[in-house]
Amino acid sequence: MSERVPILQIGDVLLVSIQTDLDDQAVVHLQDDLAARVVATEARGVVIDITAVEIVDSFVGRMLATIASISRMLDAETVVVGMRPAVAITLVELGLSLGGVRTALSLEKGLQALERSRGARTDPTA
Amino acid sequence: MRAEADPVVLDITANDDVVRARQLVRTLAQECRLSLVEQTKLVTAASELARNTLVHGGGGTMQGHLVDDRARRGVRVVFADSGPGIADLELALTDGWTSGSGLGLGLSGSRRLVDEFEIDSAPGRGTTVTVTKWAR
Amino acid sequence: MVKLWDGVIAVPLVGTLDSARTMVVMEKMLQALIDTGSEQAIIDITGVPAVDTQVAQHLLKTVVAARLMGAECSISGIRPQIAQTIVALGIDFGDIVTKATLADALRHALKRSGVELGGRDGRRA
Repeated sequence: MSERVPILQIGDVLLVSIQTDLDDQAVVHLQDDLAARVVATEARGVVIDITAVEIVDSFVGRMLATIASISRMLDAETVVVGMRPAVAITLVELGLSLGGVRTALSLEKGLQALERSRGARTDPTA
Repeated sequence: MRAEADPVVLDITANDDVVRARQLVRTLAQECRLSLVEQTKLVTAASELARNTLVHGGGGTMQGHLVDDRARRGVRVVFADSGPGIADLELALTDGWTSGSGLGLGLSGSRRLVDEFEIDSAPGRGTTVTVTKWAR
Repeated sequence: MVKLWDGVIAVPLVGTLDSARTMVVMEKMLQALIDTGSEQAIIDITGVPAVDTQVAQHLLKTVVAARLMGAECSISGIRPQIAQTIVALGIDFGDIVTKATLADALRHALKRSGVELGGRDGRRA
Protein backbone atom coordinates (compact mmCIF):
# COMPACT_ATOMS: atom_id res chain seq x y z
CA MET A 1 0.00 0.00 0.00
CA SER A 2 1.30 3.40 -0.88
CA GLU A 3 2.05 5.95 1.81
CA ARG A 4 0.93 9.57 1.69
CA VAL A 5 3.46 12.27 2.40
CA PRO A 6 2.26 14.64 5.15
CA ILE A 7 1.69 18.26 4.20
CA LEU A 8 2.25 20.87 6.89
CA GLN A 9 0.81 24.35 6.84
CA ILE A 10 2.81 27.25 8.22
CA GLY A 11 0.88 30.46 7.72
CA ASP A 12 0.13 30.61 4.03
CA VAL A 13 2.94 28.28 3.08
CA LEU A 14 2.59 24.56 2.63
CA LEU A 15 5.61 22.50 3.57
CA VAL A 16 6.31 18.99 2.36
CA SER A 17 9.31 17.07 3.59
CA ILE A 18 10.04 13.89 1.66
CA GLN A 19 11.68 11.47 4.04
CA THR A 20 11.31 8.09 2.43
CA ASP A 21 11.84 6.37 -0.89
CA LEU A 22 8.50 6.94 -2.58
CA ASP A 23 7.00 4.63 -5.14
CA ASP A 24 5.37 6.16 -8.20
CA GLN A 25 1.90 5.95 -6.72
CA ALA A 26 2.95 7.92 -3.64
CA VAL A 27 4.48 10.53 -5.94
CA VAL A 28 1.21 10.91 -7.84
CA HIS A 29 -0.72 11.11 -4.56
CA LEU A 30 1.58 13.87 -3.36
CA GLN A 31 0.97 15.87 -6.49
CA ASP A 32 -2.81 15.49 -6.14
CA ASP A 33 -2.81 16.17 -2.40
CA LEU A 34 -0.72 19.30 -2.76
CA ALA A 35 -2.89 20.76 -5.49
CA ALA A 36 -5.98 20.16 -3.38
CA ARG A 37 -4.39 21.69 -0.27
CA VAL A 38 -3.18 24.78 -2.14
CA VAL A 39 -6.75 25.45 -3.20
CA ALA A 40 -8.26 24.57 0.17
CA THR A 41 -5.86 26.74 2.16
CA GLU A 42 -5.33 29.48 -0.45
CA ALA A 43 -1.64 28.96 0.14
CA ARG A 44 0.73 31.45 -1.46
CA GLY A 45 3.80 29.25 -1.24
CA VAL A 46 4.82 25.62 -1.44
CA VAL A 47 8.13 24.35 -0.11
CA ILE A 48 9.24 20.86 -1.01
CA ASP A 49 12.13 19.73 1.14
CA ILE A 50 14.22 17.04 -0.52
CA THR A 51 17.14 17.19 1.91
CA ALA A 52 16.61 13.52 2.77
CA VAL A 53 16.06 12.39 -0.79
CA GLU A 54 18.88 10.30 -2.25
CA ILE A 55 17.41 9.60 -5.66
CA VAL A 56 15.52 11.94 -7.95
CA ASP A 57 14.69 10.16 -11.19
CA SER A 58 12.69 11.46 -14.15
CA PHE A 59 9.37 10.57 -12.49
CA VAL A 60 10.08 12.53 -9.33
CA GLY A 61 11.70 15.30 -11.35
CA ARG A 62 8.62 15.67 -13.49
CA MET A 63 6.44 15.68 -10.38
CA LEU A 64 8.39 18.60 -8.96
CA ALA A 65 8.07 20.54 -12.20
CA THR A 66 4.35 19.71 -12.43
CA ILE A 67 3.66 20.78 -8.86
CA ALA A 68 5.40 24.07 -9.57
CA SER A 69 3.28 24.66 -12.67
CA ILE A 70 0.01 23.70 -10.99
CA SER A 71 0.79 25.79 -7.93
CA ARG A 72 1.63 28.80 -10.06
CA MET A 73 -1.75 28.52 -11.78
CA LEU A 74 -3.27 28.47 -8.30
CA ASP A 75 -1.30 31.62 -7.46
CA ALA A 76 1.29 29.95 -5.27
CA GLU A 77 5.06 29.87 -5.77
CA THR A 78 6.99 26.67 -5.29
CA VAL A 79 10.54 26.24 -4.00
CA VAL A 80 12.39 22.95 -3.87
CA VAL A 81 15.02 22.95 -1.13
CA GLY A 82 17.90 20.83 0.06
CA MET A 83 18.90 19.11 -3.16
CA ARG A 84 21.96 16.95 -2.53
CA PRO A 85 25.05 17.45 -4.73
CA ALA A 86 24.96 13.85 -5.98
CA VAL A 87 21.32 14.31 -6.98
CA ALA A 88 22.08 17.58 -8.77
CA ILE A 89 25.01 16.03 -10.65
CA THR A 90 22.85 13.07 -11.68
CA LEU A 91 19.99 15.29 -12.83
CA VAL A 92 22.39 17.24 -15.04
CA GLU A 93 23.68 14.02 -16.55
CA LEU A 94 20.12 12.74 -17.03
CA GLY A 95 19.36 15.95 -18.85
CA LEU A 96 16.45 16.79 -16.56
CA SER A 97 15.90 20.48 -15.95
CA LEU A 98 13.00 20.37 -13.46
CA GLY A 99 11.25 22.88 -15.67
CA GLY A 100 13.06 25.80 -14.13
CA VAL A 101 11.40 25.35 -10.76
CA ARG A 102 12.95 27.61 -8.15
CA THR A 103 15.38 25.96 -5.75
CA ALA A 104 17.20 26.94 -2.58
CA LEU A 105 19.97 25.39 -0.54
CA SER A 106 17.99 25.18 2.68
CA LEU A 107 14.51 25.50 4.11
CA GLU A 108 15.41 28.86 5.60
CA LYS A 109 16.67 30.22 2.30
CA GLY A 110 13.66 28.79 0.53
CA LEU A 111 11.25 30.60 2.83
CA GLN A 112 13.27 33.81 2.37
CA ALA A 113 13.02 33.41 -1.40
CA LEU A 114 9.26 33.03 -1.14
CA GLU A 115 9.07 36.17 1.01
CA ARG A 116 11.08 38.15 -1.52
CA SER A 117 9.04 37.03 -4.47
CA ARG A 118 5.84 37.71 -2.55
CA GLY A 119 7.09 41.19 -1.80
CA ALA A 120 7.85 41.77 -5.44
CA ARG A 121 4.47 40.54 -6.53
CA THR A 122 2.38 42.56 -4.11
CA ASP A 123 4.47 45.72 -4.10
CA PRO A 124 2.56 48.21 -6.26
CA THR A 125 5.69 50.29 -6.74
CA ALA A 126 7.70 47.34 -8.05
CA MET B 1 35.37 -11.61 -16.26
CA ARG B 2 33.84 -13.60 -13.47
CA ALA B 3 30.64 -12.81 -11.62
CA GLU B 4 31.14 -12.54 -7.91
CA ALA B 5 28.55 -14.24 -5.74
CA ASP B 6 25.11 -15.18 -6.91
CA PRO B 7 23.09 -12.63 -8.84
CA VAL B 8 20.30 -10.84 -7.05
CA VAL B 9 17.03 -11.50 -8.88
CA LEU B 10 13.90 -9.41 -8.58
CA ASP B 11 10.54 -9.78 -10.27
CA ILE B 12 9.21 -6.41 -11.38
CA THR B 13 5.43 -6.60 -11.46
CA ALA B 14 4.25 -3.69 -9.34
CA ASN B 15 5.14 -0.12 -8.38
CA ASP B 16 6.87 -1.05 -5.17
CA ASP B 17 9.16 -3.38 -7.09
CA VAL B 18 10.71 -0.29 -8.64
CA VAL B 19 11.54 0.86 -5.12
CA ARG B 20 12.96 -2.60 -4.34
CA ALA B 21 15.03 -2.42 -7.50
CA ARG B 22 16.56 0.85 -6.28
CA GLN B 23 17.33 -0.64 -2.88
CA LEU B 24 18.91 -3.79 -4.30
CA VAL B 25 21.07 -1.91 -6.75
CA ARG B 26 22.15 0.46 -4.00
CA THR B 27 23.25 -2.48 -1.85
CA LEU B 28 25.30 -3.89 -4.71
CA ALA B 29 26.80 -0.48 -5.41
CA GLN B 30 27.84 -0.10 -1.78
CA GLU B 31 29.38 -3.58 -1.70
CA CYS B 32 31.40 -2.57 -4.70
CA ARG B 33 32.54 0.63 -3.02
CA LEU B 34 31.23 2.90 -5.75
CA SER B 35 31.54 6.56 -4.77
CA LEU B 36 28.39 8.33 -3.63
CA VAL B 37 27.94 10.08 -6.98
CA GLU B 38 28.51 6.83 -8.88
CA GLN B 39 26.01 5.05 -6.64
CA THR B 40 23.45 7.76 -7.15
CA LYS B 41 23.86 7.62 -10.92
CA LEU B 42 23.57 3.85 -11.05
CA VAL B 43 20.57 3.66 -8.73
CA THR B 44 18.84 6.43 -10.67
CA ALA B 45 19.45 4.57 -13.93
CA ALA B 46 18.11 1.39 -12.32
CA SER B 47 14.99 3.27 -11.27
CA GLU B 48 14.37 4.45 -14.83
CA LEU B 49 14.99 1.02 -16.32
CA ALA B 50 12.93 -0.83 -13.71
CA ARG B 51 10.06 1.55 -14.38
CA ASN B 52 10.37 0.96 -18.13
CA THR B 53 10.26 -2.77 -17.54
CA LEU B 54 7.05 -2.36 -15.55
CA VAL B 55 5.27 0.32 -17.53
CA HIS B 56 6.36 -0.39 -21.08
CA GLY B 57 7.37 -4.00 -20.80
CA GLY B 58 4.31 -5.12 -18.89
CA GLY B 59 6.48 -6.47 -16.12
CA GLY B 60 9.71 -8.44 -16.15
CA THR B 61 12.80 -9.15 -14.10
CA MET B 62 15.95 -7.49 -12.86
CA GLN B 63 19.17 -9.33 -12.18
CA GLY B 64 22.12 -7.66 -10.55
CA HIS B 65 25.57 -8.87 -9.65
CA LEU B 66 29.06 -7.72 -8.93
CA VAL B 67 31.56 -8.11 -11.71
CA ASP B 68 35.30 -8.29 -11.68
CA ASP B 69 37.56 -7.21 -14.52
CA ARG B 70 41.05 -7.95 -13.20
CA ALA B 71 41.91 -4.45 -12.04
CA ARG B 72 38.47 -3.15 -11.22
CA ARG B 73 35.16 -4.12 -9.68
CA GLY B 74 31.76 -3.10 -10.84
CA VAL B 75 28.03 -3.73 -10.79
CA ARG B 76 26.12 -5.19 -13.70
CA VAL B 77 22.32 -5.09 -13.84
CA VAL B 78 20.09 -6.69 -16.46
CA PHE B 79 16.47 -5.68 -17.02
CA ALA B 80 14.41 -8.05 -19.11
CA ASP B 81 10.80 -8.15 -20.20
CA SER B 82 8.74 -9.99 -22.82
CA GLY B 83 6.73 -6.94 -23.66
CA PRO B 84 6.07 -5.29 -27.01
CA GLY B 85 9.70 -4.40 -27.63
CA ILE B 86 10.91 -1.20 -29.21
CA ALA B 87 10.40 -0.72 -32.93
CA ASP B 88 12.86 2.07 -33.56
CA LEU B 89 15.77 1.70 -31.14
CA GLU B 90 17.75 4.57 -32.57
CA LEU B 91 14.84 6.93 -32.07
CA ALA B 92 14.21 5.65 -28.56
CA LEU B 93 17.81 6.34 -27.64
CA THR B 94 17.62 9.92 -28.84
CA ASP B 95 17.30 12.65 -26.27
CA GLY B 96 13.84 14.04 -25.94
CA TRP B 97 12.11 11.01 -27.41
CA THR B 98 8.92 10.08 -25.60
CA SER B 99 6.55 7.21 -26.11
CA GLY B 100 2.92 7.84 -27.00
CA SER B 101 1.81 7.98 -23.39
CA GLY B 102 3.97 11.05 -22.89
CA LEU B 103 6.38 9.32 -20.57
CA GLY B 104 9.95 9.28 -21.77
CA LEU B 105 11.59 5.91 -21.86
CA GLY B 106 14.50 7.39 -19.96
CA LEU B 107 16.82 5.28 -22.06
CA SER B 108 19.09 8.01 -23.34
CA GLY B 109 19.38 9.52 -19.89
CA SER B 110 20.14 6.17 -18.27
CA ARG B 111 22.79 5.50 -20.84
CA ARG B 112 24.69 8.59 -19.75
CA LEU B 113 24.56 7.53 -16.12
CA VAL B 114 26.36 4.24 -16.60
CA ASP B 115 29.67 3.13 -18.09
CA GLU B 116 28.37 0.34 -20.31
CA PHE B 117 24.92 0.13 -21.82
CA GLU B 118 23.54 -2.60 -24.06
CA ILE B 119 20.03 -2.93 -25.32
CA ASP B 120 18.44 -5.76 -27.23
CA SER B 121 14.91 -5.13 -28.34
CA ALA B 122 12.58 -5.71 -31.25
CA PRO B 123 8.81 -5.79 -31.74
CA GLY B 124 7.48 -9.08 -30.44
CA ARG B 125 10.81 -10.02 -28.85
CA GLY B 126 10.65 -7.99 -25.68
CA THR B 127 13.46 -5.86 -24.32
CA THR B 128 16.67 -6.59 -22.45
CA VAL B 129 18.86 -3.80 -21.14
CA THR B 130 22.24 -4.50 -19.54
CA VAL B 131 24.10 -1.76 -17.71
CA THR B 132 27.44 -1.78 -15.96
CA LYS B 133 29.04 0.74 -13.64
CA TRP B 134 32.68 0.42 -12.63
CA ALA B 135 34.24 1.70 -9.44
CA ARG B 136 36.95 4.23 -10.24
CA MET C 1 38.07 26.09 -1.27
CA VAL C 2 38.19 29.60 0.11
CA LYS C 3 35.44 31.63 1.71
CA LEU C 4 35.76 35.08 0.13
CA TRP C 5 32.79 36.69 1.81
CA ASP C 6 29.56 35.76 3.51
CA GLY C 7 27.84 33.50 1.07
CA VAL C 8 30.65 33.47 -1.48
CA ILE C 9 33.20 30.70 -1.86
CA ALA C 10 35.96 30.40 -4.40
CA VAL C 11 37.65 27.33 -5.81
CA PRO C 12 41.07 28.14 -7.27
CA LEU C 13 42.16 25.47 -9.69
CA VAL C 14 45.83 25.27 -10.53
CA GLY C 15 47.80 23.27 -13.03
CA THR C 16 46.77 20.82 -15.68
CA LEU C 17 43.32 19.50 -15.08
CA ASP C 18 42.27 16.02 -15.96
CA SER C 19 38.73 14.77 -16.07
CA ALA C 20 38.92 12.76 -12.85
CA ARG C 21 40.49 15.52 -10.75
CA THR C 22 38.06 18.11 -12.05
CA MET C 23 35.10 15.93 -11.12
CA VAL C 24 36.35 15.41 -7.58
CA VAL C 25 36.98 19.11 -7.02
CA MET C 26 33.61 20.02 -8.44
CA GLU C 27 31.80 17.53 -6.20
CA LYS C 28 33.61 19.01 -3.20
CA MET C 29 32.60 22.49 -4.25
CA LEU C 30 28.93 21.59 -4.45
CA GLN C 31 29.15 20.05 -0.98
CA ALA C 32 30.94 23.16 0.30
CA LEU C 33 28.02 25.30 -0.86
CA ILE C 34 25.82 23.35 1.52
CA ASP C 35 28.34 23.13 4.36
CA THR C 36 29.06 26.87 4.34
CA GLY C 37 25.56 27.95 3.41
CA SER C 38 26.98 29.91 0.49
CA GLU C 39 24.75 30.76 -2.41
CA GLN C 40 27.57 31.73 -4.73
CA ALA C 41 30.71 30.00 -5.90
CA ILE C 42 33.51 31.18 -8.15
CA ILE C 43 35.63 28.65 -9.99
CA ASP C 44 38.91 30.37 -10.72
CA ILE C 45 41.03 28.90 -13.48
CA THR C 46 43.69 31.61 -13.63
CA GLY C 47 46.28 28.96 -12.85
CA VAL C 48 45.09 26.54 -15.50
CA PRO C 49 47.05 26.70 -18.77
CA ALA C 50 44.61 24.72 -20.89
CA VAL C 51 41.36 22.78 -20.79
CA ASP C 52 40.12 19.99 -22.99
CA THR C 53 36.56 19.14 -23.98
CA GLN C 54 35.95 16.90 -21.00
CA VAL C 55 37.16 19.41 -18.45
CA ALA C 56 35.17 22.20 -20.07
CA GLN C 57 32.07 19.98 -20.01
CA HIS C 58 32.63 19.17 -16.34
CA LEU C 59 32.91 22.85 -15.47
CA LEU C 60 29.72 23.54 -17.36
CA LYS C 61 27.86 20.67 -15.72
CA THR C 62 29.03 21.79 -12.31
CA VAL C 63 27.65 25.28 -12.86
CA VAL C 64 24.32 23.81 -13.93
CA ALA C 65 24.33 21.47 -10.93
CA ALA C 66 24.98 24.39 -8.57
CA ARG C 67 22.06 26.21 -10.10
CA LEU C 68 19.82 23.19 -9.70
CA MET C 69 20.70 23.20 -6.02
CA GLY C 70 19.79 26.85 -5.67
CA ALA C 71 23.18 28.52 -5.91
CA GLU C 72 24.97 30.51 -8.57
CA CYS C 73 28.38 29.69 -9.93
CA SER C 74 30.65 31.80 -12.10
CA ILE C 75 34.00 31.10 -13.70
CA SER C 76 36.92 33.50 -13.52
CA GLY C 77 40.43 33.64 -14.88
CA ILE C 78 39.64 32.45 -18.37
CA ARG C 79 42.69 33.14 -20.50
CA PRO C 80 42.25 34.13 -24.13
CA GLN C 81 43.64 30.76 -25.24
CA ILE C 82 41.13 28.86 -23.12
CA ALA C 83 38.29 31.05 -24.37
CA GLN C 84 39.36 30.26 -27.92
CA THR C 85 39.54 26.54 -27.17
CA ILE C 86 36.07 26.49 -25.66
CA VAL C 87 34.56 28.36 -28.59
CA ALA C 88 36.42 26.16 -31.09
CA LEU C 89 35.13 23.05 -29.33
CA GLY C 90 31.65 24.36 -29.90
CA ILE C 91 30.82 24.32 -26.21
CA ASP C 92 28.11 26.80 -25.41
CA PHE C 93 28.51 28.42 -22.03
CA GLY C 94 25.10 29.96 -22.42
CA ASP C 95 24.29 32.43 -19.70
CA ILE C 96 27.03 31.26 -17.37
CA VAL C 97 28.84 34.25 -15.97
CA THR C 98 32.53 34.31 -16.82
CA LYS C 99 35.00 36.97 -15.74
CA ALA C 100 38.61 37.61 -16.65
CA THR C 101 39.77 37.95 -13.06
CA LEU C 102 38.82 36.62 -9.67
CA ALA C 103 38.39 40.22 -8.51
CA ASP C 104 35.80 40.88 -11.21
CA ALA C 105 34.00 37.70 -10.28
CA LEU C 106 33.95 38.66 -6.61
CA ARG C 107 32.62 42.12 -7.45
CA HIS C 108 29.89 40.52 -9.52
CA ALA C 109 29.04 38.06 -6.74
CA LEU C 110 28.83 40.81 -4.15
CA LYS C 111 26.57 42.84 -6.38
CA ARG C 112 24.30 39.83 -6.75
CA SER C 113 24.20 39.55 -2.97
CA GLY C 114 23.17 43.16 -2.72
CA VAL C 115 26.41 44.28 -1.13
CA GLU C 116 27.49 47.83 -1.88
CA LEU C 117 31.16 48.67 -1.65
CA GLY C 118 32.25 52.27 -1.28
CA GLY C 119 35.70 53.00 -2.63
CA ARG C 120 37.90 55.66 -1.04
CA ASP C 121 37.65 57.68 -4.19
CA GLY C 122 33.90 57.21 -4.26
CA ARG C 123 33.92 54.30 -6.69
CA ARG C 124 31.13 51.81 -6.18
CA ALA C 125 31.15 48.10 -6.85
